[in-house]
Amino acid sequence: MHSMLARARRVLMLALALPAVPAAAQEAALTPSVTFPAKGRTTVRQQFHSMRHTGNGVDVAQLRLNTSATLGLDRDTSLALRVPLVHREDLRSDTDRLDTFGVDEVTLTLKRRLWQVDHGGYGSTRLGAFVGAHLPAPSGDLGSDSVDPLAGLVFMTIVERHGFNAALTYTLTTAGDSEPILPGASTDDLLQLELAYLYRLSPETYTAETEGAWYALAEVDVNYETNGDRDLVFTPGVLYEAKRWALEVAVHLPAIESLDERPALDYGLVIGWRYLF
Amino acid sequence: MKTFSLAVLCSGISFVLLGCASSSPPVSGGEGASGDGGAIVAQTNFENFPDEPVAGDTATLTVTGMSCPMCSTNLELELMDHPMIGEVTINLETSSVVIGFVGRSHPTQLELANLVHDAGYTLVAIN
Repeated sequence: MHSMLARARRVLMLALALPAVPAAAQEAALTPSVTFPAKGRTTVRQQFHSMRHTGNGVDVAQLRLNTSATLGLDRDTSLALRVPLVHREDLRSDTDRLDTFGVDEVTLTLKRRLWQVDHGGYGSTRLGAFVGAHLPAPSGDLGSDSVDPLAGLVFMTIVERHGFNAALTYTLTTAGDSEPILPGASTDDLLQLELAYLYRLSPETYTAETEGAWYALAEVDVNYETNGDRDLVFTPGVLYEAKRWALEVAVHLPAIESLDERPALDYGLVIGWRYLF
Repeated sequence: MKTFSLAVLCSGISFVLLGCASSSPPVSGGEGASGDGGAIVAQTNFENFPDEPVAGDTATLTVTGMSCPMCSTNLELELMDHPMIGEVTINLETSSVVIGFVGRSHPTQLELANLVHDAGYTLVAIN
């Protein structure tokens, strides 16, 4: 009874934290994009993830609230900080249950626009690069105590109602979790390829009165870890983008999983919003 | 493997840092289409926008690269920060940005070009 109350309280804390910090756009839910707030402006983004993983003798239910703030340093450079608040429930047998609540590894990323060509009215093709690091988790029970650097390239093109994003990221794991759940959490390095396609459902054409736009999105996340684990997760969803905020809902559907070191993803749900200050 | 990984990461970091060092935004009289070091990060041709005040109480800018409602807000906020600009209306379909001025003093064309540039977009024309 006590544990149920404690769990309810933690879930409530996560839910209450959601609207507390309301942030850019033509961005997919998960795949990085070559978009930047103007110099001195900040976008704040929150994503609530509900995921379940099973395998390797564990059954893990996880609620994550990722809060990201991105500051425009100049027109072509941004600095982003992502802080994940996590409630994790590990079931290792009928009686062995572990509840963990706290802040997971914080991620700091410096992104730079390297190339851009604007074509037509609102068409744009851009290439960027980013470097960053996963910093030690403030909560001792989550993540690792190491600094794990990462670097990658990101591409974006928008043609009429179609948007395409791609990002390739390499994360060098200097330490890790001996019982990892998420890709990249193990003691091995992670190569991640993310692809996203967005189709503007509405409006068919923009006008001066356009207040927002609906998009259908489809994302593919391919993870390869140097321990041999690899998976492919398909994430379809919808995105509504207003002038100062955006709301997104998507589901994680695992398509290919070849995993030995971590449990497989059963399902996942993502609800997120962004606000431009 | 770790050594190789570290080398790849270092290459990535160098790539970004070199990008940072080689593409400072033009303030005036830049080439526009190609920044220093060959990276194209701006297309606004600043030579087309002299450091002279815009005539009239309103001006219509043609701006490309705004691909979404939030992109237009990014530019709107940037323009509205200018003390001489009181109103901004953006039509994404026609790439037009109509701005209304406050008072008798008007910003220069170069100032407007820099504001659009700083927001991350391309100023094509001022009418």
